[in-house]
Amino acid sequence: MEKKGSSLLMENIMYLIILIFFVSLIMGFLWTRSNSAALWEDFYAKELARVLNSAEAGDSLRLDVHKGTAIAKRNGIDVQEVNNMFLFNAKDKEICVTLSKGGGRCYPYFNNVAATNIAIELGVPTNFLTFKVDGASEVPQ
Amino acid sequence: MNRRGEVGDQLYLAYFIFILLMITGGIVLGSYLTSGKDYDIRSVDAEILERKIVSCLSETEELTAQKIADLYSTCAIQERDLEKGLIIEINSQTQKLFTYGNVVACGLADKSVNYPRCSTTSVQVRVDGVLTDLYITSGSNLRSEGKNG
Repeated sequence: MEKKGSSLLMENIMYLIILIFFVSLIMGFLWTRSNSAALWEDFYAKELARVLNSAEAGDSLRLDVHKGTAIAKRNGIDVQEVNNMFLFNAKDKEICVTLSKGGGRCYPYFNNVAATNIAIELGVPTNFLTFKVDGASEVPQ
Repeated sequence: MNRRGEVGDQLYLAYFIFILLMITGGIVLGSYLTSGKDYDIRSVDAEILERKIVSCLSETEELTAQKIADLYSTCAIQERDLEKGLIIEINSQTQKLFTYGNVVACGLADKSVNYPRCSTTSVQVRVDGVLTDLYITSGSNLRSEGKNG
C-alpha cells in the first residue's frame, strides 16, 4: 500500500515537473515577444527617417515616443538622456534607436536636413521627442 | 495486471505531453501570426523621393536634358545617399535622361520581399524649351541595420 502511494506521488511530481517546464517555456517566449525591443527600435528608426525625409528646414517636430521610452526604461536605459535612445547622425544621414543594452537599429534617410535641439519631454503626460529641422549645410558636421 | 497498468500510464503521459505541445504550438503560432512582418516603409521612401524629384524638376527654371542628367547638382541629391539602396530613372518618350540603380528589379517587387519597392509617375515640363512628358521611377531597398553593423 505504501509502495503504491509512493509511486503515485512520484507520478504526480513527474507530471508537475513537465507542466512547469512547458509553462515556463511559454511564459519565457511571451515575455520575449512582449518586450520586443528590437521590433520597436526598427519601428522608431524607420518612422523618424520617414519624418525627416518629408521635413523641410525650419520645421519643429514633437513625436510621441512613450512606448519606446517605457521599453528602454524596463531594459535599464537612462531615458533622461535623449542620445541614449535616439541618435541622429547628420554626417552619415542615419537615425539609430536603442531601447535595450547592446541593441539598437539604424535606418538611413536621404533628405538634405539634420535634426537639431533634440530633447525628450518626460511625463507631459506621455513622453515626447522634440527636435528642429535644419538644412544639412547649416549644421556643423 | 501490473504490466497493463504501466502501458496505460505511459499512454496517459504521452497524451499529456501531446496536449501540452499542442497548446505551446498554438500560442507560438498565434503570436507569430498576430505580430506580422517587419515594418516596411520602402514604398513610402520611394514615393517621398519621387515627390522630391517631381517638385525639383517642375521648379527648375530653363530645364534642359543636361540639367536632368546632372540631377545630383540640379536637385541637390547626393550619390552617397542613393548608394544606400535607392533607385531613380528619368525618361522622356524618346530617351533615357538619368538612371541610378537597377530599375529592372522594380518589376520583380511582387516576386520577393527582397526586391525594391518602387513608384512611377509622369510630369509634363519644358525641357530645352519643348513641352515634354517625363516618366520618373524611384525605388527604395533601404534596410535597417544593427547599431554596431
